[in-house]
Amino acid sequence: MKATFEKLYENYHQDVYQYIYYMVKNKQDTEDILQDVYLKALRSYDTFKRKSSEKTWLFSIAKHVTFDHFRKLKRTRNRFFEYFDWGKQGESIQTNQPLPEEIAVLDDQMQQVYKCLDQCSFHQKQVIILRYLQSFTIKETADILNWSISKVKTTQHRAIASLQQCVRKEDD
Amino acid sequence: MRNRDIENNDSIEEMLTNLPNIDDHRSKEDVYQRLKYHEVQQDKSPWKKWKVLIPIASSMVTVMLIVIAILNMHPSSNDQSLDMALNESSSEETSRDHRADGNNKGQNNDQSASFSTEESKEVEKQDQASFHYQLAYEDEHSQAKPIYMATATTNGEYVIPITLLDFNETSTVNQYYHAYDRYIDEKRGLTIQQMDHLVFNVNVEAETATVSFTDDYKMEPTTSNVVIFRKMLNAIFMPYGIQQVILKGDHEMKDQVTDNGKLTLEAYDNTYFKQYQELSTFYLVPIYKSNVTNVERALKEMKYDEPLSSIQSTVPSDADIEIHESGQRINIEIQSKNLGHNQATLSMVEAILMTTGAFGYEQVVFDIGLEQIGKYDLTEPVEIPNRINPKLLQ
Repeated sequence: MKATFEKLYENYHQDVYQYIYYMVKNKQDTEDILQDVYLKALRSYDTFKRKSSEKTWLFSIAKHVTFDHFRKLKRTRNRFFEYFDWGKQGESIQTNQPLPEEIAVLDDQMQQVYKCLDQCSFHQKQVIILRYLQSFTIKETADILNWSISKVKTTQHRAIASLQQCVRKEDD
Repeated sequence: MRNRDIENNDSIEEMLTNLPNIDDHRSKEDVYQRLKYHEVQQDKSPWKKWKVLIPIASSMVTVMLIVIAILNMHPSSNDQSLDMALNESSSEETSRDHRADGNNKGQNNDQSASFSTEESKEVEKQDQASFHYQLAYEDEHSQAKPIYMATATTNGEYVIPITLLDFNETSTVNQYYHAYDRYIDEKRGLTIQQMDHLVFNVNVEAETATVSFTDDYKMEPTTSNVVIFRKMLNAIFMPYGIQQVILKGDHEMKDQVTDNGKLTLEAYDNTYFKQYQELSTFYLVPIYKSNVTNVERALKEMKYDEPLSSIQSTVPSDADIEIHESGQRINIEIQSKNLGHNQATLSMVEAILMTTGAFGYEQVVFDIGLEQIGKYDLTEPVEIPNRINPKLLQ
């Protein structure tokens, strides 16, 4: 187990951490989710068929675990705040976390982009992070998300438009 | 700073690309230890047991409903069918009982060394002659020459120290190391990490050791292999009182382990002992964890299995533990419904002895509701044995 963990850690840890962090924007949640990602990966490593790259496979697990996290969060909130109209924003859960140091030192417009990520839907956000922060190709992104290439392109296009609108609104 | 032209898609894309890396500042070891702790907790989760029980219960209910449905389809012969069904059920139960008896006998014959298999059944008294000891005192085999070896668990995660006790005085210490694979059988769930491809030159009296890499030694110097290699050398040479090992030969492992070909050995504090079981053999395994800084914490850790590594707990999970220290002596009181005259309790006593020894204690006073377990007289303070996982060579 440890040898496999070390291999995954050395090769992908910071990348997966970053992906999850930008998705949930909370370091504690990121650590918890990443832990579940490792547990799932280590338990299924022997049966990994290597049809995709190891990195794509690991990110695919990270995507599922992160999605589960949001689902649980949404369920919990619904349970306690049934009167609250969650609506279409249900999946884009905003955090009131202070800006991390790395973001706080950026200029206003960059900080705005960071904040506007929360205006994107879950799907849009993960495409943005995989494509622009992790530099995955469209094909790799499609493999991770188990989508068609055209769906990735469309979601990316809408995400950029949504971000642009959000940043522009804040500038005004 | 000048605002970018946000009407331009490229600008948003450029800003996204320039978002900073958010790094995890925890060390690899911290992440791993937390992962292992979480794994253990998940394994202990009552929900996990329910997840197993629910399908079994569902299947049983389904079978019962089918039987009831079949009986109802033949109302005229209902009583007769019911009798037959009951008879069949009864004879099935009888045969099942026979099978269960056979299994129980088998289990009793196999020494169950772990509390993880003991918890569900009544604690039975085991014949003392069938106890398997994982520790020995020097005076028990005073005629035997100890040779210290080390092996690793199959996944190469933990080091298992082994003490060969040879009553034959003719072989030199180095001859044992030259036949490393003869004394540690890799077919029995162990891996010697290619130690048989190293040449050992040990002088016990002078407390010096040289280890040379041969061309056949092919271990990759990965982080985990380097760590395990260093720990194996520690386990082999420290019991001889050797402080430093000289590594010779042209292999990257040598460069990874040390800068100048000299490896200074180090004692591992913060160590506790669990059990590794593969096939029918089991061994005490030292586990080092930096955040386990006292015996109380160590005994708590010893309650957990690590199924992915075939590591078993050595303290029952329901144990209520109280500890009192008095100089080099430590009093340990344990209450658990799983304690008794059985192999698991003996293994617990031995694991606790080694653990307390690793924390610097010399004697342990046990209060576990037993006056004697195997060779250990628990009415007196028990000394820490100095030979771990002994293997007698007659």
